[in-house]
Amino acid sequence: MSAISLSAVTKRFGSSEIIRGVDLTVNVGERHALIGPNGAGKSTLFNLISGQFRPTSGQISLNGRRSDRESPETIARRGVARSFQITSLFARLTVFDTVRLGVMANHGVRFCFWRTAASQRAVTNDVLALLEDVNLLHRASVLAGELPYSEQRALELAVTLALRPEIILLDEPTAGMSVEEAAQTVALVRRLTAGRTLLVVEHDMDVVFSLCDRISVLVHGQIIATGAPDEIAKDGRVNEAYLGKGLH
Amino acid sequence: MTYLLTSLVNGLVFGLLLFMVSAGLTLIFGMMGVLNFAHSSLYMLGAYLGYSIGRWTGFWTALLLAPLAVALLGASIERFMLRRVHRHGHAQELLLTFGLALIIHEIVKLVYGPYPVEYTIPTELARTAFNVNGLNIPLYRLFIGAVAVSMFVSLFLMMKYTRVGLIVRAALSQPLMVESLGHNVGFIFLLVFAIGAALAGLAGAVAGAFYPTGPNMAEDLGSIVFVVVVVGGLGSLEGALVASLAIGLLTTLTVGLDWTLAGALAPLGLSGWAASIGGPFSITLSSLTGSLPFIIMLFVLLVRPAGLMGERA
Amino acid sequence: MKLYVRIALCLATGVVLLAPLTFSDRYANLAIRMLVAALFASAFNLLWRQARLLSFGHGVYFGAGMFAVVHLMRANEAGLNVPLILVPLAGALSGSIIGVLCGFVATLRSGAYFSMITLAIAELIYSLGPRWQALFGGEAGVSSMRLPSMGLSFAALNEVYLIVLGWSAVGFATIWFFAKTPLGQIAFALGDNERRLQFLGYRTHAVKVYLFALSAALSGLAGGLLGVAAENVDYTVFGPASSAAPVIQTFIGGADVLFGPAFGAALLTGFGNVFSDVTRLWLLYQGIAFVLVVMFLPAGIVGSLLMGKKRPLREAIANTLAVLLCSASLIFLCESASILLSDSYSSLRASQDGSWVSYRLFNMELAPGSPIVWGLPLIAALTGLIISWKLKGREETA
Repeated sequence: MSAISLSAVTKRFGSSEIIRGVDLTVNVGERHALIGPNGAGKSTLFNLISGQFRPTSGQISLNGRRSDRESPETIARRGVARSFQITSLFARLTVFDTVRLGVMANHGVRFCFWRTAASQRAVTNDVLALLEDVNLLHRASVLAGELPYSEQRALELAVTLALRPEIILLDEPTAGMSVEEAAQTVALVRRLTAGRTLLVVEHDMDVVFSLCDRISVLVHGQIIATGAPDEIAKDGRVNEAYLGKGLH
Repeated sequence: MTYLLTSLVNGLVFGLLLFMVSAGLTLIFGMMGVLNFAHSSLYMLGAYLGYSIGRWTGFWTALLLAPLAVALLGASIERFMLRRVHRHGHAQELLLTFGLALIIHEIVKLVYGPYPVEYTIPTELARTAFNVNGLNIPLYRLFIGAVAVSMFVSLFLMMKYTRVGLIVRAALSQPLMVESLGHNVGFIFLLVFAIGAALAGLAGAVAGAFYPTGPNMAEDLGSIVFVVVVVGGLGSLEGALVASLAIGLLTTLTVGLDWTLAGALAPLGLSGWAASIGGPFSITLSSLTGSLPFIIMLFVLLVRPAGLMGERA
Repeated sequence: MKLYVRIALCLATGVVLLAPLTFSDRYANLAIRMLVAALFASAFNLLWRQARLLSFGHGVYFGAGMFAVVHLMRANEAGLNVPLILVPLAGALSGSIIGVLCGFVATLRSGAYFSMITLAIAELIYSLGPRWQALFGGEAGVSSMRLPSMGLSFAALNEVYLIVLGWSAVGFATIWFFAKTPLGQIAFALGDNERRLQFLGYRTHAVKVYLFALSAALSGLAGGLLGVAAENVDYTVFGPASSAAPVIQTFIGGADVLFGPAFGAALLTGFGNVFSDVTRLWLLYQGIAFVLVVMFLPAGIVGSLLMGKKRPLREAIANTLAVLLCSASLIFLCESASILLSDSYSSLRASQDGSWVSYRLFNMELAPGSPIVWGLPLIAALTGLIISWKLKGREETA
């Protein structure tokens, strides 16, 4: 059984068809990258998988269950977590409180109003462990909006992982980072996602090649190639789609 | 039959009037994201200014000057007040216009007193237009309708064929895009706000002579205008037109109908039981006329959240 | 804060809160209205402070509480024996029931749409009010009597104040505690970024309905407390004025501070009570104050005081002087206009051959034709504006 499977998925906005018949399979435990030129529809595809948009036609299944008619919160509860490209966290919450939201969702603490959030030991311990993992422990009481960019990305990752998801969708986890920071983030992602299914949209080819087992190339709303990194690097159509730019 | 015809004319005219006020509101909302609580206050000011200026200059000059004055006021509200709080977000802008509505209401009461003023229609229009089956249709009603229709046509032509109209239409669908293309969005906002205010002022100056001009006219119309904007769909002029006419017609047509819920249960043989309970079962439809727009709005929101012609939810 | 400062503050607060127990009916009534307004504004602000939802129809839930309590007290007169101290709970209950129903619809949308829906619901109920005689009592409203209970007669309002104080304390404690619970935290995050919260698996619509219901329940409690004190209610409680009050009070006080709304509500209710005897223009001044706060003090009075930068004493004095000069001349001009535009003044003028006869204001005999009468306030206002403009310029260069 595959973790993520798309068959003949299309998506139209008004008269323009952004996704034009995508078939994609991501196996359980696989690290899969989605690459492609700007405007190819990568973010749209992400939004379709995570339930923000509904496909115009076609089917999406996550862990063998059909998901394309479900709401984002239902999909999240089935063990699928996604991060966002434009960092969009909670401006009035501290780093600690932000991660706690994710942990509480994982522990099933939702409509609880008879005791304080701070009184829940198990939740607090998990939050501290996660913050330690992403090196944000010393920032726990800072407002999320006041963190520098790279730390916001780390926080975004921590919140995503707090759900203990089986399937993780990462939208450009290293965008806007220096080479050094990107390398750190890759190491972090590699360590924290061990044993889980990962689908990542990424521009940085070094990141893609060092992180992922397989790569799919999306051009004009269609997947033109899928394969191991070295196969993709040799693929003529892919190089053409990138306007002759080499992939390395 | 006679009843139906009067109701149709009255409803149509009221609907057109609603549209004159809601057109500006929906444009401002669609473009700037600002829900202008003071919009119907501008309508009221139009009526009062029409009355005041008319005492010096006569009705026709006032009909021109009052909307201009209201447009000027609208422009200064946008330039000196709204723009100031813009960076604090739409909610702060909404609160500001809400406060302005309160102030305008109090100032009108201060200057003109708590009772309606005697703003009357000019003698040359105070005639019967025509007579159907012994029923008189006042000429002034037709005049209100004519003003509204010509306004709609010119607004439509402006949106369709002028450069400003093009930018406004673009800004309605892609506000950020227009800004990045280097258009002076600030000026366009000012213009739209002024035009919207002028339309509301014109509507007030025209309608105030026919309907009572009192300090509650803003409040009475304001919430119905919100209903029109929601039912019609965000930023949609066509939607506002359809919704205005529909609500205008519905509210006038139901005035004479004394249907009740108890009556509606008659085919089931339950009407006696329902009537004995009373309360909501024995309220006649005619007495619900004031509530009807809100019931329609809640229904539309549940069935079609984006409104009749709205694209974005 | 030092310990003894805290103890002193607590003692002072206790004295202020308990003092109305010794008051006569007039002032006990004022104290009750201030507490009720404070609780109502705080309940309203649950929605805005946490979830950034701005309701313009909270008068409905306040009114629901008031009607429920007055009807319950009528039932008490007919022989039902609910102790008076439990009666306000009926207000909270009816508020929460109406709140769940209306909140479910209103929270389907956010932003300005939410505001419009809450407004429309309020207008709907308001327009139904006079039609439903049995429930709302038509134009005359519904009246009842407090019955003696638990050894107290509850004939005088200072005894009622005890009930109001007790239940308000429960209400405020609920609001304070709620912000610390998981649901309160989630509601906070919802105000920042609803979409992101959905992707964490939270059903945000349900969160909003819960929050709305809590806010409506506490509004209903506030209404119920007023119902116990006032003993009668009519449908105008659903009108725009009661929905506008918590909005104005909350933002003047400071919406993002826990007890900012309560402060604003107590302040404006107190001022309103004092000034509406002196001037007909209180609502105008309140409106102007509201607009000025929205424009220049977006954090509200308490919010600005709490985070206010320390400025030198001279500047603080100059600033206060500017504000005083401007508001004094504004009040003078408004009050003069109010007199000169009144019917009684125009009939006085007519009796004096249309001449601008002098009028009395603030114990002064003023001649409308005199340049000093208009020139002095204008100069004062101008001076105030210049001072604040200079201060602002200095702030920007600093």
